[in-house]
Amino acid sequence: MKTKNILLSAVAFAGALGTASVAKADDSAQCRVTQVLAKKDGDGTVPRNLKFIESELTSDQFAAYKSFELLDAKDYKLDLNVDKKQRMKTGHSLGLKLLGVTGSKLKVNVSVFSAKQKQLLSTAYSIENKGLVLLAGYKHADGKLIFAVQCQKR
Amino acid sequence: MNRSSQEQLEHDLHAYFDGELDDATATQFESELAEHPALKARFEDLQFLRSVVGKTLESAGEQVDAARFEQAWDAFDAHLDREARLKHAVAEPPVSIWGRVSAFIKTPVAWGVGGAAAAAAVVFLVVGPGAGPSNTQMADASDQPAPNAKADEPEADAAPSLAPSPTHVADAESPKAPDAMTEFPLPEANNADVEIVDFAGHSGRISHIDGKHGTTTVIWVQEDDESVDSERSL
Repeated sequence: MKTKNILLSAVAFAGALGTASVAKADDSAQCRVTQVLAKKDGDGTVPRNLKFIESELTSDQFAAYKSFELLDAKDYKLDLNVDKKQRMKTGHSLGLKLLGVTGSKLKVNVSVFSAKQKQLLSTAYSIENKGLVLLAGYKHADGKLIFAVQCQKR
Repeated sequence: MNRSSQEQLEHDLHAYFDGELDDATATQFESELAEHPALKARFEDLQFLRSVVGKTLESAGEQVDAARFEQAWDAFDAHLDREARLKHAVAEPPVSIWGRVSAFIKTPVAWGVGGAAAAAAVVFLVVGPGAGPSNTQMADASDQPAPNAKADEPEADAAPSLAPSPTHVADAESPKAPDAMTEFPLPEANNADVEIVDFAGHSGRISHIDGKHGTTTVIWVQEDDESVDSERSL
């Protein structure tokens, strides 16, 4: 009886592991990268198409920048451990890779490349579903680029 | 020759040399020159000096670039003209506003503007006010949002095909029209746990913004070691 209980527990535990593995293989996410040009001249108004990050753009972090312009936006459909890379209108490229999904958190790797395809940044972070990360400081024209990376579970 | 007469002769010599003596005095001095060889020698010395200095100045003048000379002369001339205009401006009484208006009316420009305004008035009277947009139409037009060069949903460009990386790389997203981009929820709970960051040789830092969406992580890259304008540097 005791042996039977142990065997049943072991099978149940193995089954749970297998279920988790299958779930991991199906992990996928949807991300949007918004490319913003921040310039030091302007009246400080955030355009309507950037209202979703207005509180961030008008924070002290970006106090030096008085105008913001949406340059480009790209959607990414990410499958687990699959690199996706897209080029923006400025020539910069962003690579995204879903590293895993744990509960409500997504683990993502983001790489930024210059117009000459020189890597400028590579980072891996965990973030809540629908969370937003800003990658800023990339020189372009007479301003700086900000990439708003937002991902949600699919 | 006593001292005072010597001084007088010296004075007369220079005056004679400069042509400042009247005819009678000059004639008298010329007889003095004939009687005093030393005085005549002094006079000849002065003549020699004059010729040498004169030739030197002429030679120096010939070396000046003609164009440079013209330029300098033009600048001097312009300066004189400016001074003259200033003097006249001060001398003339200020012109009244009516004087200026009457002067403007006499110009062809004023006639042209007046003619155009008269023609427009005639057209308006003949055709009537009904030709233009109505007040309600104009109000409706003003209520419409101004056309925005950028759509609310950003356009998606065609993504280039990608070279394979060590992990399997799928093709890039196919291009989408702006309206076809999926709705994306507003950001929430943005605090990220950054596990790895590689600034690829550049300077960088991680900071946070406390805002509407909780704490938002900002990863700054500093290209070319330029100073970063941020709250820390303000």
